[in-house]
Amino acid sequence: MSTTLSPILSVERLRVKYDLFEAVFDVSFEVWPGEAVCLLGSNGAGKTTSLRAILGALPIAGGRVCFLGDDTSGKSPGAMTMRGMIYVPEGRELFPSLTVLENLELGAITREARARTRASLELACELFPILAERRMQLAGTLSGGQQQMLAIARGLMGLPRLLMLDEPSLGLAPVVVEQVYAALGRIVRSGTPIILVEQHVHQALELCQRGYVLEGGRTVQQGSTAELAGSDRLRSAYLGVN
Amino acid sequence: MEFSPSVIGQMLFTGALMGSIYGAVAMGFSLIFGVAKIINFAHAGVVLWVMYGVLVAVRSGVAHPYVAGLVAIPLCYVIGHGVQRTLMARVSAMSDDMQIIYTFGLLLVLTYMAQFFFGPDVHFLPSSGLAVEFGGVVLQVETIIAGALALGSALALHAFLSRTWLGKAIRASADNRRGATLMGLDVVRLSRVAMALSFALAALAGTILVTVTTFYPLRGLELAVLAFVIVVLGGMDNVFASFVAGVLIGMFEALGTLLFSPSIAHMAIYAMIFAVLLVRPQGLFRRRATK
Repeated sequence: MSTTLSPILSVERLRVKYDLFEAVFDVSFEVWPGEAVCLLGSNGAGKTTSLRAILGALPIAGGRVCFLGDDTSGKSPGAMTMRGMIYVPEGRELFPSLTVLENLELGAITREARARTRASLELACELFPILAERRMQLAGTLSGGQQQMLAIARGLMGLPRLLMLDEPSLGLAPVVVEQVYAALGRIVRSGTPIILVEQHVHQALELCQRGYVLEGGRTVQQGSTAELAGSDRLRSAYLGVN
Repeated sequence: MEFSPSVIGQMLFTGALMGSIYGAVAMGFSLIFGVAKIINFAHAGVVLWVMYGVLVAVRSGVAHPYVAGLVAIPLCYVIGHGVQRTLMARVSAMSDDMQIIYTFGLLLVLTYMAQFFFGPDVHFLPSSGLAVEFGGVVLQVETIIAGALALGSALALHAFLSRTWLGKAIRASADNRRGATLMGLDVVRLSRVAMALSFALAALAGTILVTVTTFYPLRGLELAVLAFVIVVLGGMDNVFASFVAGVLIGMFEALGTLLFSPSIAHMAIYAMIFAVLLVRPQGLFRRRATK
């Protein structure tokens, strides 16, 4: 009972010193069980920096991050991944000279996930049938869209308790974006909590229930995606004009 | 000049077996280059020290060379783990030229320490005198065992890297270190395992080398250059290709020695590195990078 009443992830006044362009000064948001939440904002608003700091890949300079009820400060990406926080990075970051199948297998990073590799593989290939077809091919030879599908599928192999997706539509043709988002819709409906960082605001608003708008490293607005869709501020944050 | 088929066969077989030992030296070298992006010349220094270790164990009547090797392999595994934790911990963050100076410096330290403790003399272990003959080709038993162990270790390493989860994770962290970190692989631990394996391979290579060749402190430098040539030929981070390239170099060396002279054979081997770098910089067995 108590688990359903507490957020999966809560970020309070997060501060990250990174570089001049993507510093984070004051970012707060929450993700509740079963929820899909988007972080919106222009390039350099601090979305990717926030996600990477939450994962432990960048040092946190201030604020508090709780994942599944525990303070995450000082934890490594490895430790966070072991707890079920799975990050699907911007630019996909696959292993290009390993096969599709090997990339997927490596996604099963916890003991529990590894024991369920076979079932997870079936699920991933059902979600993205092209991956089953290409399983013996080197990941580096896939098209951009297929690589994105592989990155998402690799994330699912880790049995995420929170899936963090960073710009999954970056550089993809509109048709492929539709395909990727259709699959993300199924993942959300299966109950996996999601944080989505996205520049394609339309898709993000359609997929998620709630969203936060980031501007210059600060959370400036939050609400249901229906509310955000009608907001002028979102438009200005997205376009990066004041 | 004319050579009977049996002489050529003799040279090719002996060359291939010696080459497989070179391959075993080179595999550990390319494993570390692949995973940690360190050009670790000190690898040959480890091989050298294992040779002296086995020599001391045998001379003092403590153990047979193969038994000494059985002790050296796990011991070197542990030492390799510790070295990656300490001496090598910051090397992958250095620039490439600094790395080469650092690991080459370590090799020199290991070489001249060997010279200090054991003197500049040439050492060798007495051969068992046993040999196998077939079709006019005579092979010393130690050479056959050495070749078999080298081939076995190459196959085992290849199977480990391509079949097990840990092996795939090591290849993954070599392929995309940042991606591996972001998906939660512990790349620091993986590079320690890789260094430990590389040391264990050095121990195996040192043990089998000591049973078939003479050695002296500067042998370390020669092996380092040879391993470098082999991995450039095989394609730097491809472990199994390094083994095959080692066998080819061994046969090339033997044929060159037979047809011309040992010094011409060695010069040709080192000349080959330029040819390979000019024509196929990705190595003989490697597909061009796709991305």
